[in-house]
Amino acid sequence: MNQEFEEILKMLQETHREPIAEAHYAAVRSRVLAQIAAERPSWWRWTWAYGLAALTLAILLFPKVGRTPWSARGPLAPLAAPQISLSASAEGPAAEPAADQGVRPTTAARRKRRPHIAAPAAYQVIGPPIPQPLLVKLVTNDPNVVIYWISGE
Amino acid sequence: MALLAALAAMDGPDERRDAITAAQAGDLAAFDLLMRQHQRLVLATALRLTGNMEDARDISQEVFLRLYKNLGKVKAADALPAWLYRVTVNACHDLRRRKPESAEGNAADLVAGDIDAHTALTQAERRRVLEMSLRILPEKERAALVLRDLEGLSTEEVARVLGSSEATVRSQISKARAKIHDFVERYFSPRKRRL
Repeated sequence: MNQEFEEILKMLQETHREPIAEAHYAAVRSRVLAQIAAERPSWWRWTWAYGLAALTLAILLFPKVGRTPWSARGPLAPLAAPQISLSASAEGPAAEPAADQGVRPTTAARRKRRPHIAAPAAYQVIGPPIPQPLLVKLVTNDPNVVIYWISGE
Repeated sequence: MALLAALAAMDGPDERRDAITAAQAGDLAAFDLLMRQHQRLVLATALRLTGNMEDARDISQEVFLRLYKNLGKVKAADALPAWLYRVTVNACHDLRRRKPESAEGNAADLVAGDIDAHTALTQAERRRVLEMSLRILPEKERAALVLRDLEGLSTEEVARVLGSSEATVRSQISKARAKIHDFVERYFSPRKRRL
């Protein structure tokens, strides 16, 4: 029986060693790779979510970044009538050096100035300029979600 | 361990280790290379265990997907072939439970079929008989015989893959050989008598 089985076994091994068509291997590999690609998380689809999370985190970590609440604001300086000399308005503004005004001198400053007409007193504000809030509008992929970021200076 | 070591060294241990490391890092090209290195092992084993190419391809797909999900657990390239054999055998077992009719052979029909004495024993016919002889075996005996006699693993390696003792594997192989011998004898004996 052993000798007979050796022959059978030899035939079995020959059959087993017959090459399998490459198409079968290729089909298996392509199916596996396709399934892996389908199951992989697509990080780029969530970019907007990551951006929103980072923004929220930044606002939470730095609470001073943002609009100053009305309750925290001080009263504005009262309006006062400025003392304007009429002669100055006729001749133009006082010829102070630009460096003294805290402004870097430019070539435009050296040009011949046109006569300056002073603004009406009622529109002049005394005191530091009021900081204008910065409004940033973030448009996301979702048309129903628009993010506004309001920030002080 | 000799055969598994030889399999592990097919493309060089460095290449295999590099492919595994790159695949673990998410490189799909490296994983494709890893599949190419082991595709014959998985597909041919699955083909002998299931008996048909369609199921063997499904099994191979499942095995490689499991490999991808468990790449992090692969510590050494040498251990990969044994792991693949084990997963392939388990996947075939799962398939047999899900679709028992697909793995069952139709050996009785083959033996009872009309054998034309004047027809030469073609290669295809011989292959069909041998494949049928595997399909008459119980699942564990077939796995033991395929791994030991066709894939060339040692008894110790087969025992490790199947999670059995070496004595059990020896017994299973012995029974499987006897059944195959009887089956082939039954098929060929009428032909021999007529010729």
